[in-house]
Amino acid sequence: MGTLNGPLIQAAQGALQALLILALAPGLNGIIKKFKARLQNRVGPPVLQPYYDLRKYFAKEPVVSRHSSWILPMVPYLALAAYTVASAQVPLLGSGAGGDLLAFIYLLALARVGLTLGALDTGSNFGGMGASRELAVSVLVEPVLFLSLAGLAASAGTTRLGALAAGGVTTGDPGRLLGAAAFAFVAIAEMGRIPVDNPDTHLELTMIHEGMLLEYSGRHLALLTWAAEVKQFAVLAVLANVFLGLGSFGHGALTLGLSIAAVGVLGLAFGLIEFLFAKVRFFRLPRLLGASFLLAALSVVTVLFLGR
Amino acid sequence: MALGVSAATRLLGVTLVLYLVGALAGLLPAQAASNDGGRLATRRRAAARVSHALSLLAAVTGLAAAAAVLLSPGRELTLGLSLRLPYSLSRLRLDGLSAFFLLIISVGSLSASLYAPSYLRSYEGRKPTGWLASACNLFVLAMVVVVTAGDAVLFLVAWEVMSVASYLLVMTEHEDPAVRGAGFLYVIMTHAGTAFITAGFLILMRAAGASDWASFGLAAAAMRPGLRDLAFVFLLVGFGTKAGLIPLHIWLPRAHPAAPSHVSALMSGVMVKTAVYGLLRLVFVVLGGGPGWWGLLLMGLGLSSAVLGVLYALMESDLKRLLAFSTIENVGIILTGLGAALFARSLGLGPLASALTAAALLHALNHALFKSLLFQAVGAVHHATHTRNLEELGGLIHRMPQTALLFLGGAAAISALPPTNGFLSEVLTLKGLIHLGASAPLPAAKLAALLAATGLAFAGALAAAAFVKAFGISFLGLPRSDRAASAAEAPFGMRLAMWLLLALCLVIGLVPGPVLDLARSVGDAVTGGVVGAAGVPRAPFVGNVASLTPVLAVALVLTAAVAWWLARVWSGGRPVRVAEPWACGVDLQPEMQYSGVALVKPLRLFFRTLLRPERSVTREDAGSPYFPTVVRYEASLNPVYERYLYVPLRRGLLAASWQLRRIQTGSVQAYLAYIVAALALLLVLAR
Repeated sequence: MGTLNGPLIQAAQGALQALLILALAPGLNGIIKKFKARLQNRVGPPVLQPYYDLRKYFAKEPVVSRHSSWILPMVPYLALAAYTVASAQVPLLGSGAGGDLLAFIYLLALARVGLTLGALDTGSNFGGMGASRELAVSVLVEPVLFLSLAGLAASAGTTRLGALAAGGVTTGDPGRLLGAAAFAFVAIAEMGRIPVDNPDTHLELTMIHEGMLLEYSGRHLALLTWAAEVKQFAVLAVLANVFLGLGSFGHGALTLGLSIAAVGVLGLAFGLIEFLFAKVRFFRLPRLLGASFLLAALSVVTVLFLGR
Repeated sequence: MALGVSAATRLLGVTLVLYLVGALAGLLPAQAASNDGGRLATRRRAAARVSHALSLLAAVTGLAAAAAVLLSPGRELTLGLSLRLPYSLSRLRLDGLSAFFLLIISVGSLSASLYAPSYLRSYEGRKPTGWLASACNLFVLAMVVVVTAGDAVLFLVAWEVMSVASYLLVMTEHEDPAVRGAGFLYVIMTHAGTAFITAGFLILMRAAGASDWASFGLAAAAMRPGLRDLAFVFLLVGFGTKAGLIPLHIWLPRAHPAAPSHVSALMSGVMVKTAVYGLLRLVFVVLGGGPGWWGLLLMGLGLSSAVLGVLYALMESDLKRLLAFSTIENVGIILTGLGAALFARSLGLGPLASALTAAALLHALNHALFKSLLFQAVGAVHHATHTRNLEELGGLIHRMPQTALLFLGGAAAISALPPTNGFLSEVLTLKGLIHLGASAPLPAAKLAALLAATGLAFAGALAAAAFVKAFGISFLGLPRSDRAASAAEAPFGMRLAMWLLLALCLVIGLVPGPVLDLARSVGDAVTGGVVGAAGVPRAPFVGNVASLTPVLAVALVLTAAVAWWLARVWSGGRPVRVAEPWACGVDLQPEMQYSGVALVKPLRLFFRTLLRPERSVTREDAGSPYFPTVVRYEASLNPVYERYLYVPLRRGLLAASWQLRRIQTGSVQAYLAYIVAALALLLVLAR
C-alpha cells in the first residue's frame, strides 16, 4: 500500500462505516424496543418505527425558544457530526479499519458539551436539569471509559482501536472480559438506558438525555434522535469488536456481518437488563460507576500482570 | 528565518530596551504633579498609550528573536553588556528552551498590549493608568530576563523583580481589604518560594564554585546523590509555589483575579510558565534528570493539582477565580507530563521522554493562548457589567455576540475538544502516558502511568463541565440582573487582542505540524539531545497526532454540512418558528433558570468527601413559617489543604513567634550581645 493510498483507503473505510452505522442505527433501536415490548407482553411498535419517527420529525416545523441564540439550532448538526465521525473510529470492518481511541473519546465529549450548552440556551429550567445531570454522569463515566480502553492500548502498544480489536476472539481472556464488564456500564450510561437513565420517559424526576432534548422540535429533533441512535450503535460496536474481539478477522464481509449481528445481540441483552432492573436513584450512581471503575482497574491489572 | 546571529542578538537587546523605555515612559506624568486634574489625566492616558505601544513593539521584536533561534535548532545567542558586574549579571543566553518561553511571553505581551489601552479606560480618573502600564512593562521585562538569564544570580534578581512588579499590579484595587489580603498572601508565598529556589541554587553554587548554568551542570554531574536529591526537592518546592502546585497554590486563586484582567491573563497564562521553565532548566538541563522517584513525585503532585484544581474551578461562581483554579489544573497537566518525561528518562526511554516533554511544552504554549483569551473575555464581561459573579449574568450572547464567540472558542480549547489546540496537547500527553504504560519495564510503573492518564482524562471531563457552566450560565439563557441585561459589546482594541489569540488557537489546532516540530526539537534538546540525532528515532506517535486534528476538523465540517443540506431538503426547507418556551404554564422568569451552583450540585454531592461543602439556609417570615418572605442560601467549601496544612502551620508559626518574645527584651545591649555571639559562631563554623 503506497503512502498516499493508506490514508485514502482509511478515509474511505471510515466513511463507509459511518454511512452503514447511520443507516442501521435506528433499526437497532427498533429491534430493542420491539424486544422490550414482547417481554412486557405488548405487541409494541413495528421494528421500523424509528425510521418512521425520523421521517415524521423531519417534516414537522422546527420551533425554537424566544430566548435562545444561534447555539440551539447549531447543536443538532454538531452532535450528529461528532457522533458520526466517532462511529468512523470504530473498527467495524475488521482490525484494519477504525481510528484512534482518544479521538473517539473526545468526539463523544464534543457532542456532550454541545448538547449541554444547547440545553442551557433556551432559558428553560428543564434544560438546566438535563444538563446538570448529564455533566455529573459524564464525569463519573469518563475514567471508566478511558481506563478500560487504555489498558488494552498499553498492552497493544498503540492507541489505534483496530489494533486493539486484533487480540482475537475472547476465549477466557480474563483481562478483556473484565474490561468488557466495565465498559458495559459505560455503554449503559452513554446509551441513556436503565439503570442510569430512562429512554422512555419525559418525567422530570428521572430524565437526563431526554431533558436536554425537550426544547427541540422538527428537523432539529430528528437530527438529535438520530445522533443518539448512532452513538448507541457505535458504543455497542466498540464493546463487540474491541472488547469481545469480534473485529479481529481482518477485512471482509464476514467480520462486518458478525459485528452487526453481535451489536444486535448486545442491544437485546441491554434491553433485557432494562426489562429486569429498575432505575437507580441518581445520587446512588457513584456507587454503580465506582464499581465499574474497579472492574476497569482490575482488568488493567490483569492485562498488565498476566499479559494477553 | 534568514536572520543572522548578530541581527537576532540585536533584536533581543532591542526587546529589552523597548520594555525598559516603555516602563519609564509610563512613569513620566508623575512629575507633572500639577493641580490641573484634567491635564494630568490626559498626560497619564498618553503615557499609558506610549508605554503600551512600546511593549507592543517589544513583543514583536521578542517574537522575531525567539523565531530566529527556534527555526534553526542548535543555535544559541549570547548578549553581553560591557558592564563590569559581578557574576555574569550582564550576560543573557537565548537557546532553544529559552526561545520557546520567550515565544510564550511575547505572544502574551502582544495581546495584553493590544487589549490594555481600551481596557484601562475604565480605570482612568480612578487609578494612575501610566503607572499600571509601567509596572506591566517591568513585569514582562523581568519575565524575559528570567528565561534568558544564563546565571543563577541574575535569574534570582529577575525573579524577584517579576514577583514585585506583579505584586504591584495585584494591588491595583488596594482600597478593597480582600485585595490587600490577597497581595499580602502573594508576597509571603512568593518569597517563601524564592527562599527555596535560593537554597537549591546555593547547594549547586557551593559544588560548582560559579553561578552560571554550565558550571552548575558540570558540578551536578559529580555531586553526591543525597545532595542532588535535596537540591531537587528545594527547587521543586520553590518553582511549585510559583506554578501553583497544590498544596502550595493558596495565593494563586486570590492574587491572579485581583489584578486588572490583562494582567491576570499575563500572570495566569505566562508567569506560571516561568516556573515550568525553571524546572526544565534546572531539573532537566542542569541536573540532567534523576532517579525514578523524582519523576513519580512530580507526576503525583501534578496529577493531584490537575484533579483538585479543576474540582474547585467547577464549584467557583466568580469567573476570574474559576479561571485561576483552572490554571492550577493546567499547570498540573503540564507537570504530570514533565514528571512522566523525567520518569521515562530514568528508565532510559529517551524518545518517549522527549515526546512527553514536547507535549508539556506544547500545552504550556496552548494554555498561554487560551487562558489569556478567557481572562480577557471575562475582563470584557466585567468591563460591560461590572460583575464577575456568574449568578448575576446570563444571556450575554445576545448583547456581546463577539465576546461570547471568543469565550466559547477559548472554552472549547481549554476543554480539549477536537479539533482545537487544547485537544492536540492533551492527546499528546495522554498518548505519551499510554506508551509509557506500554514500555515501562515494571508492571507497577505501567499501572502508575495508566492511572495518571486516567486521572488526566477525569480532570478533562471535569474541565469540560466547568466551562459548560462558565459559558452556559453567563452567556446563555436569560439575564439574571439589570447589569447583564444592559451590557454592551467590548471596544475594538479588546476584541482585536482576543481575535488574535483565538486565531492562534485555531491555527495550532488545524495546522499542528510547525509548532509540533518546534516543541519536539526543544524536547529533544532538553532531554539529553540524543533523540532526533542520527540513530535514535523519535517516538512515532507524535507524528500521527499532527495529522489527527486536521482530519477530524475536515470530517466534522463535511458531515455537519451534509447533515445541514439533507435536513433542509428532507424538511422541505420549512422556516424555524420562534416561540415562548414552555414553563409549566407561567411566564419564564430569570430566577427559574438553573443557577451555576445548582448546575454543579450533583457533582458537589458526589465529591463531598473531597470538597467538604457547607451550606446554611435562613428564612425570614412575616408570621407564618409556610410563607417565607426572604430565603437566604449560603454555600461554601472547606478546602482540605487549609484545614490540614495551613491552619496547623499558622498556629505553629504564631506559637513559635510567641516563644521568640522571650529573647526580644528591647534593650540595645542585649541585641549587641546577640550580634557578637552570632559573629563568633559564624567565625567558628565557617573557618
